[in-house]
Amino acid sequence: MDGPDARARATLRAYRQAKSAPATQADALWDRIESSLDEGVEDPCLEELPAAGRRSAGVLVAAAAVVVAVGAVAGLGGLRLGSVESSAAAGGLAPDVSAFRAAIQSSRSRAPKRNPVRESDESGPDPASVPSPQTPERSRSDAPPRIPSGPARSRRSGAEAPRGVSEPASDSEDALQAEMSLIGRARRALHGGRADRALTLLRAHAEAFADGQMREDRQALRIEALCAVGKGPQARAEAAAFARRFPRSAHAARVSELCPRR
Amino acid sequence: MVAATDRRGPTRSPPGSGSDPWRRELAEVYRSHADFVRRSAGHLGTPRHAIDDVVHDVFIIAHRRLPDFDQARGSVRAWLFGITKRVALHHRRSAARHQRRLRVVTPPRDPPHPDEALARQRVVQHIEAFLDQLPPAKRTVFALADIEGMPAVEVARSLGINVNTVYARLRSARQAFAQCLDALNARTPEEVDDGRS
Repeated sequence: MDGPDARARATLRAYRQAKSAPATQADALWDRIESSLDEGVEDPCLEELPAAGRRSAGVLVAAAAVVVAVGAVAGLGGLRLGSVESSAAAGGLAPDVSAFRAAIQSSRSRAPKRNPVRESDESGPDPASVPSPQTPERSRSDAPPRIPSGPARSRRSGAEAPRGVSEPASDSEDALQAEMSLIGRARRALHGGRADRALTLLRAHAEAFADGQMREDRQALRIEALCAVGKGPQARAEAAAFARRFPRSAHAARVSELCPRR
Repeated sequence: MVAATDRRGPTRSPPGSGSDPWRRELAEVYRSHADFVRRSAGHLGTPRHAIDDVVHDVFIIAHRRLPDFDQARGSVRAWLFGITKRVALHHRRSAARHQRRLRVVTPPRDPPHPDEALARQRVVQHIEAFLDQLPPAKRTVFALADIEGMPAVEVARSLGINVNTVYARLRSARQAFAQCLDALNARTPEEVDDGRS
């Protein structure tokens, strides 16, 4: 079957671009998703039910998941809606992160060509054809740099793109990435007027990375957040402790000026 | 490898501690497919004000189901579309209950736009009007195939229909869309603006 003509393709491409979210909106929504994950939200559609309803609904969802899984075998779709219960019944599925990464790589290599800044499609999709699985993988430089990140997120090229899934990560690099993610989110929360949220994230950083590479950043941000929530005396006390502990810190000058006494 | 129960065990890891191996994968999926999910939510009839909520909920659910994703059964996009269908339905039902309790407020008129943005807005409005008048079954097929670029086989699998049915609906929708484009090109900007008031 022939695909849409050139005029239709161009018009639909413009429509698709116009309906894409601006980078700031996408970043803010990602922040919101991460916050929800941190708070343990797992199935928002279930969360609206009262507690008892959630428990019984959870059983129903698990049962439905088994039914849908059977249906998926019959070729209804690409979904296999597992659940903890069905997974346990199946002998404990061990999720394979590497297999999922391969799936993402495959989907990205088959996706229409996009420029690095926006999800624009210069060539236009050809729905009549089956995309070739031999499409060369995009290089990391093609990765759209839209995942939210603070100034300290990337240490290499300065691009905001997170690490490509094909690149092997060492433990220390993983830890630093995690630190940068937490500190970046805390900074955005604080500058977005959510100082309480920033303090929660900074506490999490302190628990997970007590002596991490970004402990000075953590402490400086914490002092700023304490001041923002009205805990001036505590902020000033911690600023004084910061100056004694990290006298040559890059944050020292700024910390000393935070939260002046009124 | 991490066992499924480790990730969902009773001892919750500190938020963003890096011990969740799926958080980074979710970030990759979000970066690659968030706009697809957003547009799909719109094509499935989600009110504009709820689209961000739908996208949020889809990725929360996706994070939980990442360990169970099976590439052999379909693409990541098809998988996400399946989740989006469920979430969009949930939101439509919630919105319907909510609307019954609310007075509908007329939205304010958009402020004037520069010419280029206005032209783009014309295209968007025209296509949205076209999509709105399509029957839902044809609209979904047309959106997935011609707007999102999904192959017909993948569309068929995502919707649980025969690929010949996809082709039939697509053929009909494309004919209608060609007429829509003829109408769009025939109308002057003034006629379009009058149509908006």
